[in-house]
Amino acid sequence: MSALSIVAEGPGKYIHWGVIQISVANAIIIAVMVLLFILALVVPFPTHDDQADEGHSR
Amino acid sequence: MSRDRTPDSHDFPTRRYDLVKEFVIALVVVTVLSLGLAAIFSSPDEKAITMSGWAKADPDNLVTTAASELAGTTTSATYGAPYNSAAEGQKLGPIPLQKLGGVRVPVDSADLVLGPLSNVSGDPKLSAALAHWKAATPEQQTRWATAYTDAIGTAAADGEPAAGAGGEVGKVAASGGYGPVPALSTALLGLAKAGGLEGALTSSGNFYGGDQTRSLLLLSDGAYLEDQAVAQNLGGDQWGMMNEVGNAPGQPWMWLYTFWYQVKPFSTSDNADAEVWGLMMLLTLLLMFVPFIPGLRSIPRWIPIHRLVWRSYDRTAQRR
Repeated sequence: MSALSIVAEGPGKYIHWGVIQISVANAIIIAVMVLLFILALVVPFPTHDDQADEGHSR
Repeated sequence: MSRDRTPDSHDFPTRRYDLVKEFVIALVVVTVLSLGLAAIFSSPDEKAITMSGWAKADPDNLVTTAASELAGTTTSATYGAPYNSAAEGQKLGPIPLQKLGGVRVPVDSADLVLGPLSNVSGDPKLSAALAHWKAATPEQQTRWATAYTDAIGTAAADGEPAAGAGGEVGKVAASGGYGPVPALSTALLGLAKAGGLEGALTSSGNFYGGDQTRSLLLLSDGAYLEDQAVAQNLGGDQWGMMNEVGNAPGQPWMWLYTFWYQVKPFSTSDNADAEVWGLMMLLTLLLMFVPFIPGLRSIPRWIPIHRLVWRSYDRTAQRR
């Protein structure tokens, strides 16, 4: 798999900001987690009413 | 007798649901994601740090570390529990947390050097040096080893001038009351270069020879291991707990734990491990008891994120 690897090779890239020191890889992971959290909040989920025609109720 | 008011489950409306379909879709998605991400990102495949690598990259440091183990001045020799009783170790206020654990893995620092050397055969000079060492009193042994480590000294760093021979073993004066310490330290260097030191240190731990405690203690007493870690941004003062070698993602969920090590008073405290642990336990308790803590429990009222989650339900409820 190493031939396809685009990340694990080479020295790590780091962001330095005052006392904060974070790898670019970790920063991306955190940004994606925050984005997923926001999407989970705002993206509308299918409700029971939307699927009423699919189901059977009595 | 009170009447049972629980409704019959068959009275509720029902919907068809294909659990097997959901399971198969989830399995396919997770498998494709796992293989795809593994292909793109791979995994760190850092070569193991060896005694042989240390001996070749920084022989002077290995000799200095060996002499310091004999003098009893290394980090592990002065660590306290679980290896020895040389220090109280980490404390939380008056509670000696580290000492309470007891000396469960007794390690004599001099034995990290003498143990492997005792197994070498066919070297009369080494045998004589070992016999010379064993015949001396503990005070004499410490005097020899301390005189040798002082003579080697340290290189200039952080504005401090060089001490002794500046850390260069080759520049140490030939005679200086070192006893057999130079011969023992150099013999350990030879054993490490030949690749025999790991086996000699790990074979004495347990039946399967997989106990790395002693070899890791010796390795971490030298500068080589830490230098490698710092070069990879894995040092304690580099948020190292969060990081992984190279560009691979690390453990971002450790951010709060490692954050405390970067700021005062923890960054300058010798007792930081216990203090940071205590603080994290306190914060964990606060999180556990949020529903009971005035002020904290009102945050959802001030920042009503849950209304976003329930907005659709609330709209329907209002219509009804």
